[in-house]
Amino acid sequence: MITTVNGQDVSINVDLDTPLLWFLREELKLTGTKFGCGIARCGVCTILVDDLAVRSCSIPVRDAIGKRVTTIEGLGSESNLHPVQEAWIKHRVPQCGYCQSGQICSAVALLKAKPQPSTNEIHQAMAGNLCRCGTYPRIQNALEDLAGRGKT
Amino acid sequence: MKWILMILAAAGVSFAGPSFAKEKSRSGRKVASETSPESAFKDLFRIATHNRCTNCHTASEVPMQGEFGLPHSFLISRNIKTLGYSCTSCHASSGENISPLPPRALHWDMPAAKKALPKSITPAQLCALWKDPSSNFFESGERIGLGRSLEDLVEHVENDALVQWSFAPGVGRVAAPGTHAEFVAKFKEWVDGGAPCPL
Repeated sequence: MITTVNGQDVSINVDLDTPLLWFLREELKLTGTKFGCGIARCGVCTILVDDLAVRSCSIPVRDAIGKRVTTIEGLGSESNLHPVQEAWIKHRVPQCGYCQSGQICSAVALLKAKPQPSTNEIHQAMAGNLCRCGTYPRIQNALEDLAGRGKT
Repeated sequence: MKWILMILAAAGVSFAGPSFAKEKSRSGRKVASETSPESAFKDLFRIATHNRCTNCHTASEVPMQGEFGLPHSFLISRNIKTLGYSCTSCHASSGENISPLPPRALHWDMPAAKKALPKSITPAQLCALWKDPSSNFFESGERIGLGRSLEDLVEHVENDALVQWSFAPGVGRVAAPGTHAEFVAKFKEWVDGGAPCPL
């Protein structure tokens, strides 16, 4: 069984009930995706599966078979950042940074689905991603900027 | 407490949900069951208006969750699919159902608003809803080529993964009343009996 992770075909060699998060971190060594609550309530482990935001801690590998998985490592590189990553830097979003790979993946999914979300839609889409540092205003500023309502 | 339970068990007192089996008389002969399409519908109404069903069968934009029917956390609503998420972002297709992990079933989605079962619905309204061809159409029936009919509804209650889940939602969650098998049997009894509606 095969899934595509960050553009590469990957053979699945673990129990299909294994949480996708552990397959990514332990087998593929893609440690940019973090473990938070383990019960899909904090959003830290958010990745993209077929362009939709997914909580990798609660979704088994089985649900990713044949699908396109994208983690924070696959969004951009240091020399070619994803626009969301650029906006995150511009607005100095991260503080401790632990939740930010999940925040960015949720933001990417939102903008892919709706390139110009309203402020309410930004609140709604990002509501499941918690940040103990309280970077929410800066996350909102970055997304407002990406939606074409930049506040500098 | 243990002794009381043992005495009640010895006396044949059942703690299970509604029993639909024919009962025996004291003489041991089988007696005619009191079940009828009308009484079957009463049980169906009680089950269908349980939070385990009405949580998702809502006309609201926001699904409910839990035994108290509270609004779904994280501002989840029907439009979440337009914002880069889906129900299956958290609700897995398989695996053990243990709270507080998000419940899982083969598919997870909200029924259309026209299939809502509001808490205020009356038995007559529920019956009319189930017999209305514009609302008793099910995607599961579409998959197997069924038309808009009560048979389609039976197929839904019998084979839909989410309906089955509601009777076995897993550790830490309150299940819909009775068993899924009893629910299906009652549904068939009501349909086969002409699907009478209460006045």
